[in-house]
Order: sequence, then structure tokens, then C-alpha cells
Amino acid sequence: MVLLLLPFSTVRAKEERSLIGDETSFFTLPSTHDRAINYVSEYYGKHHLVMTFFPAAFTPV
Amino acid sequence: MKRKGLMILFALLALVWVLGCATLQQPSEKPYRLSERGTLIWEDEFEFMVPPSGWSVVQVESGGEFGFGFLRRERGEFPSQSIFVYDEEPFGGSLKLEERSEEFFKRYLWAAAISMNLKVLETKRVNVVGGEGLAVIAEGKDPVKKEKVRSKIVFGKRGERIVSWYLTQWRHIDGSFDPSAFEVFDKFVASFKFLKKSFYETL
Amino acid sequence: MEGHQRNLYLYDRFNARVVGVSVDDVTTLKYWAKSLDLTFPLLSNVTGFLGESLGVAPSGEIKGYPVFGRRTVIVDRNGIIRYVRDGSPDFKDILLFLKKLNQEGGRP
Repeated sequence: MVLLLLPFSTVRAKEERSLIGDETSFFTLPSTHDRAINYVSEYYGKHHLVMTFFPAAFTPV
Repeated sequence: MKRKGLMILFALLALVWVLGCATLQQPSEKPYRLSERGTLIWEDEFEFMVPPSGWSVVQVESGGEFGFGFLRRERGEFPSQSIFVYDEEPFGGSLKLEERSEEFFKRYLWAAAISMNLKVLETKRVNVVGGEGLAVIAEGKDPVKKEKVRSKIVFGKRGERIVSWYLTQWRHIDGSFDPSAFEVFDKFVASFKFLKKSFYETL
Repeated sequence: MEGHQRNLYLYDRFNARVVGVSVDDVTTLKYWAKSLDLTFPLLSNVTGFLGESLGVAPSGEIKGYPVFGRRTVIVDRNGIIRYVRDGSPDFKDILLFLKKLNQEGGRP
């Protein structure tokens, strides 16, 4: 179980404060809107983006 | 000093008498107080007619926020109780009354709604908190668990958002629904007032 | 997530958009979005790279694969991370922050 978590263990939860001011990773990801969503074309230069990460669908967020 | 003590005792007894049995979830500080008008003021934000004795205060979690309301345990075979609440964030997300009502009923009573085959019996436009609203009556029965439920849900507007008040009355399948609880609920809703703007209205 | 859905009209007013992100596949996310009547997109990040880059701690595992913890990040329109909060989203806090962020832009 520990071995499986190894790839993530080197990236411990970054302190909330240390990320502020950094540039976000640009991403393209499949979405529930039947299209891949690309950060640059949809949001960059246009809208602020709120991203909520959650463990799994059908669980409380 | 003695007189002051007696007055405080009298006020406390009056409060307990009016509210019936002890609260189910006793917060460390009571979030409500009685006004001189005989109404209840909740967290300095809501005001409404005090329900008669027999009803006790409850605080319920709904959608992550705490709503509040009143519970009355009633005579008859299990389950026999009525509970009505003010829910500022009813299930759903639409700002339109009819749409929100549809979204709400997808989640209201969760699995019980399915096992009870909950059905909307009546929907009508009403006036509530000085604006447009929707009143819905729904019923369901579970022949396996031998339970039934009758609910009245009122949707209204607070600023741009939809808020709700609803009464859920549970009975044994052979019991009878009690209209007096619905009368208390109707008075609660009819007397309901917002004492200040909501967080969202001040954004 | 319903909190976001209820506040969409306010996000719009503050020139913000919202997405949910998990390691679930799109089909699962679609079912869930439908059950909650969510109209904003949910992103499927199966490999978890985005969460990793934004420092989201794994909350545990499902069948041996790490899953995200709960975290909300707000990125301004210039791509800069401005807000990070672990745990369930504090919707009122988010709204207050977006209001401030929107005011930064200056009035047109």
C-alpha cells in the first residue's frame, strides 16, 4: 500500500500558502461537457477559475 | 436581588412552557429569543409566530448549512411525528421556482422517496414572504415498512435565491394524517419575516 | 458541489467559472452531475497529474489508486494561483474572494 503511494509521497500536500503567486499548470482534460477542456482556450485571459478537487463522485464533497 | 431572581426564573419557565420539551440538539447558546410581540426571533435574522406547546426546536443539517425547525411527536403507532423546517438552501440549484421544485424532489427524503413511491399531488402558485412562491403537496406509502408520509413544501424567494419551508408528517400506514400540524406550519410560513438582508444580497 | 451550482449566477457576475476535478472517469462523472443537476463541467483527471501539480494531497486509495483530497484552488484570469483551501469548499468565502478579485480589474 505504501509502495503504491510512493509516486505521490514525494509530492506532499503543498502548503496552501506556498502556491499563491505561482502560475497554474496549463491542462487539457476530458470533461462531462462532451469535449476536452483546455485551460488556455477556455479560461486564460478571460475568466477567473475556481477548481474544486474531490475524491470521488457520489461521495460528499 | 431576590425579586430579580424570581423574574428570571419566571421568564425561563415561560420560555420552556411555550417551547414544550427540551431541544433535540442543544446548542451551547440558544440561537433564538422571544420578542415582546410573542414571536420568535432566530439569530436576529428570522421572525415568526411561536408554535404552540408540544413542538420542540430542532436544528437540522441540510446541504451543508444548518436549517432549523420544530418537531412534534404524536400519538399513534410508530412512526408518528411531524417536523417542519425553514431550509435556506433546498436541494437543487435553479433560481426558478418550478425548476427548483423538480430538482428538489429528486433528492427529498432520499431512498425513502423511492421505497414510498413519493408522488406530487398538487402544485400551486402562492404568495410567501411578500413575493411569489410555490406550494407543493406530496404523499407516499411504503407497504413493506408499513409507513406513510405526507409533506407540504413551500418555495419562496429571498433576494434572487430560492428558499423553502417544509413539513414532513410520518404515520403508520394504517394511521391517519393530522391536519392540525399543517395548520401550525401554514401559520409559521405566513408569519415568517426576514429581519435583514441575506449574505448573498449584500455581496 | 451543489453550492457551486447555486452560486453560478454570482460567479458569472464576478467573471469567474468553476470546474470540479476528480480521478473518476467521464461516464461516472456524468451520472453524478446529472443526479445533482450540475451544469458546470467536471473534469476527469485519471492520472492525477493536475491535482499533483496543485499540491492536492492524496486522501487515500480506491483499489490501489490514489484519489484526491478535497481542495479548492482559484486561479485568476492571468493564470496565477490566488487562493488555496483544503477541505470542503467554503462557498461564502469563495464568493467574497471572487468579489475582491473582480474588483481588482478596475471598473470598465
